[in-house]
Amino acid sequence: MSDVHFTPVEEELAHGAEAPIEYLGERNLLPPTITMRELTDTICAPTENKTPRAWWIAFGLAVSVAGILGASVAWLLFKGVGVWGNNSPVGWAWDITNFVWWIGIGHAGTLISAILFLFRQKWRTSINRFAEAMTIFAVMCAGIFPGLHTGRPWFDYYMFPLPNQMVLWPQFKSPLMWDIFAVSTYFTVSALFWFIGLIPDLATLRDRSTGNALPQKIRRFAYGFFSVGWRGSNRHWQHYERAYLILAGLSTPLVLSVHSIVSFDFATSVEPGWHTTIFPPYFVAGAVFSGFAMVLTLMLICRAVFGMKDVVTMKHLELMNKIMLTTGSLVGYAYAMEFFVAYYSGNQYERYVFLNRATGPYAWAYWSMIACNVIFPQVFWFKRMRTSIPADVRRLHPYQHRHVVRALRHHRDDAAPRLSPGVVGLLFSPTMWDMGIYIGTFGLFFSLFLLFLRWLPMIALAEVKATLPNAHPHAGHARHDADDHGHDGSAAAVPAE
Amino acid sequence: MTKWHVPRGHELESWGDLRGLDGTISIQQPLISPMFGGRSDVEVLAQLAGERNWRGYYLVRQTLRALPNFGTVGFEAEWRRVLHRGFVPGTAESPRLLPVEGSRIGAALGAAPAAADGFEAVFLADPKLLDGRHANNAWLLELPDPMTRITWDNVALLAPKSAEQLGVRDGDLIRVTREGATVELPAWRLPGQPEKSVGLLMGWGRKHTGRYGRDVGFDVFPLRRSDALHAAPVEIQKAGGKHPISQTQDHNSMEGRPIAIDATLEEYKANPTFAIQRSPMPRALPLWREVEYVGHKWGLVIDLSACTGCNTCVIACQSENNIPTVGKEMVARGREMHWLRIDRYFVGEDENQPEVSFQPLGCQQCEEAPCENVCPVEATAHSPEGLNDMAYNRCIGTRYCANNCPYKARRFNYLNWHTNHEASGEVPETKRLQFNPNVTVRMRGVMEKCTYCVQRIEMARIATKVAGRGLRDGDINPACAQACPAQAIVFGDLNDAASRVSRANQISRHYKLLAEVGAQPRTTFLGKVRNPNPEMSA
Repeated sequence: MSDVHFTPVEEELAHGAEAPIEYLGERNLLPPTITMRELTDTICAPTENKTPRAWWIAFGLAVSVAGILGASVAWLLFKGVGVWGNNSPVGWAWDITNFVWWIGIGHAGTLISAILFLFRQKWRTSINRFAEAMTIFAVMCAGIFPGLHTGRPWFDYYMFPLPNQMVLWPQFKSPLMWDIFAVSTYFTVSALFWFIGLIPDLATLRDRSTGNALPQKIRRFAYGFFSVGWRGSNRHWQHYERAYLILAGLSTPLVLSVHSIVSFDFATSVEPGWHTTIFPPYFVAGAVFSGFAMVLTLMLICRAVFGMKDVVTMKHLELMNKIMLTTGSLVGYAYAMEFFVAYYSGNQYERYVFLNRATGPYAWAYWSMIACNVIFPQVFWFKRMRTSIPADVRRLHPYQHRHVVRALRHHRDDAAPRLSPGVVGLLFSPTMWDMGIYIGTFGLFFSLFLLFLRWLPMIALAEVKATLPNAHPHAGHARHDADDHGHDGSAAAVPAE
Repeated sequence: MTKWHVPRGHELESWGDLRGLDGTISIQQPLISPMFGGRSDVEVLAQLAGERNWRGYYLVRQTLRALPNFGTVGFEAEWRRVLHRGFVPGTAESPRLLPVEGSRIGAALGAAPAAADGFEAVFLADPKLLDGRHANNAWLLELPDPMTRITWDNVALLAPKSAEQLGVRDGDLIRVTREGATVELPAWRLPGQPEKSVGLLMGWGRKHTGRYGRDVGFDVFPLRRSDALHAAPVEIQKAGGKHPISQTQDHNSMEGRPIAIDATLEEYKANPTFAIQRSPMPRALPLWREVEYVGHKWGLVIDLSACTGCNTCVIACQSENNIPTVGKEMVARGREMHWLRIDRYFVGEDENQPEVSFQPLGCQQCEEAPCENVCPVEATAHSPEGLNDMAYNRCIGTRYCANNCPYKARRFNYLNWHTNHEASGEVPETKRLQFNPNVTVRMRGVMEKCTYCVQRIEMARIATKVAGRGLRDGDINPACAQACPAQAIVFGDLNDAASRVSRANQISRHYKLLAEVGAQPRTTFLGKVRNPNPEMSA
């Protein structure tokens, strides 16, 4: 990245003197000089210009990797789940790990789109579309794993409460059953939320598709179809705002509930090291942490590639790094607390499991996890580090590991039941098919993501415009009293263009 | 070598003559007609002798006809009576006493040349293959060795100290040499093996034995000659390289945990309830109303004092319940399918003089079974008689139940073990005949575990109903209990106060494994009491 040059915040603040919202206690997120027209052009350009060669290369690569997923799944279905490295007692290995990891990745999207929306954090507007898309694709990747990890995937429908001639229900006491409901609800709400937010932007794209050439006609039809007749009337905006708010309200508890429920898979078991009440908050914090890391990773690339530095500014990155620092520290607290409770419980099996975690055969994984998740984010206490892209980039790799590492821990926990530690103690080693299916989901994820980048506005156009100074009702009026503005002007009178 | 092969009939498909231990004459009767047109030994001999009518049936009848006083009333009637009875009464011989010549035994033992500073090799009959005659039996090949828990291999047993001196670790190849004959095989440290002694298990590494046993393990017969059949001085060097070993248990110690609980005789006398004190019930209220079991309430007690770790129960279970073998690579991945395993622990401080404890462990049939709550499709559920049942047809294979099992007693079909993968995917004909028709053959992707031989429970129920009476203690015997030569395993109805299993529950040594989990296992144990003969130790 040649142009990682960082524009000092102070410099922008100096410009901000012209902007009235400065006096509302807010800072400009985007350069104050940017106009709505420029914004629209910038954001719509990737979907309208000729497909860049780089996109084709990336897409070809992603689809090829997704092909690995296809091959791995086919072999898995043909041979059986034994093609993976799972054993007894490590009944769950990369399959459930990857599921937990992908679900976790999705969390940042929901957090950004729902919780930050309710808290009126306007900086989210530059990244929420992105993050939501990531959520949806990540949940799709996640869903593959529980679906295929079963011994007989063709009977997976037994897990759904479908009427059947056997008059059998699934078992509602099982946390796996709760997963089914939690994840499918999460996916549905996230997808709806994403789609509702897209409607005004799709209408913009529709309206910009003028001309009688066939591609333009197709664009007009497709975007027109999905923008469901959006004309940007006041009434449309009113309904839109309300629907968006309701969905944000629905999504917010989901951010907390989904990973809490996923953590119940472990927390409600009787296994030492799994049977821990700290799991729900700890899983959620960990998920937000890794999810934000993923958003940052993707965003840094797209920001550079598509020239969106004016839309996704260093200020955004800094705020995201703050959240990563917070969640990373939360996770660190959870790690420490797990150890304390294992000690304090006086339970020899718990103690053994935790000591084994830090000193046993998976110690390397444990300590690299601590380093990546707890120690490294501490550099973000420093503003310099928060606002430097190299620091972000450096951080990218390790935490891809993060949940994998967490799951390795689970393996070992599994392998250390109460019976003498090694009675049935086996370590897990993945096979090429374990890796194939994991790597393959990245292919699927990036294929979908690249399609998204190419055909949909990657930044929430309407919402970003609402944060511009000139979208403010009092734009142009200098030096107003802050007391006059009890409301905030988000999304007020944003033209659909 | 020979070029001709004769298809030998199995003893279950041929006629023959037998004698009991006391000399009683009996008849070997075929259970099925010969599957592949095999000929029995007597038939081949008769043909070689030029007998015109060489059929086994005829030969056996001829033998009986030749007996004095047989069939005086009429041969045909007497023949039928013998077939029905199974033996010819009054043909036992009177026992004769043979004097033991102690001096000759002493001489034979003294003849074994003592190794001055080298190693002494001791040739041991393999606990599974004996001298190699069972080398093609996949059940026995996959059966873990009682002491090392090794499957599909034999090793050279060394004292930990000797191994240290040689600089070898478990699985390292060593070269054992005796007068020009050399054998390379993996070393293995076994606590209790005398120093300067190497235990060599016979019967492995056969070249011509069939598809399962060929080239499995290491042949030690080159070292064993008629001049030293039991022990011989050998030289041992580290050969370099390692041989992968598949073990079913790689840990020797209980780490001070109350698992296979034991006590010395003195400790037992001072404190007869030592076992339950070490594994007390948890002080926790049940989450829900406990189920009352009216009618039968099946339970099983295993007496650890009686168990010698002989593995008979494991094979009996495998045979009864159509349990597949999985092969060496899959055992290394922990995918062996034995519903009943025997855990082996070394006890005591001294690595050179350890005590050994064995603990047979299958599904504990918990009353508060952790596996049942977590199955999303309710494929494992409780029966009204307290069995933790598996509905194979309902199982989708999430493996959550196995994860949540405190005893790790559940086994998962990671692949389709029963079919021949390379070929058509069909189950071979002979294998089909081997299956127990009363037990489902499980497909890939399904969880399975000990059922207390539920098929035997149902068969006994039906049989006693037909006979017009209720089930009595002893009517039902799971395969493991039936096979146990020490009668260490007792099965029965816990609601019947007079049953053997109820009485075993009253014994002071009684305890529940991992009682602290609160799963309320139905299978329980009697703690082991050690009373070694002081003259035999050291």
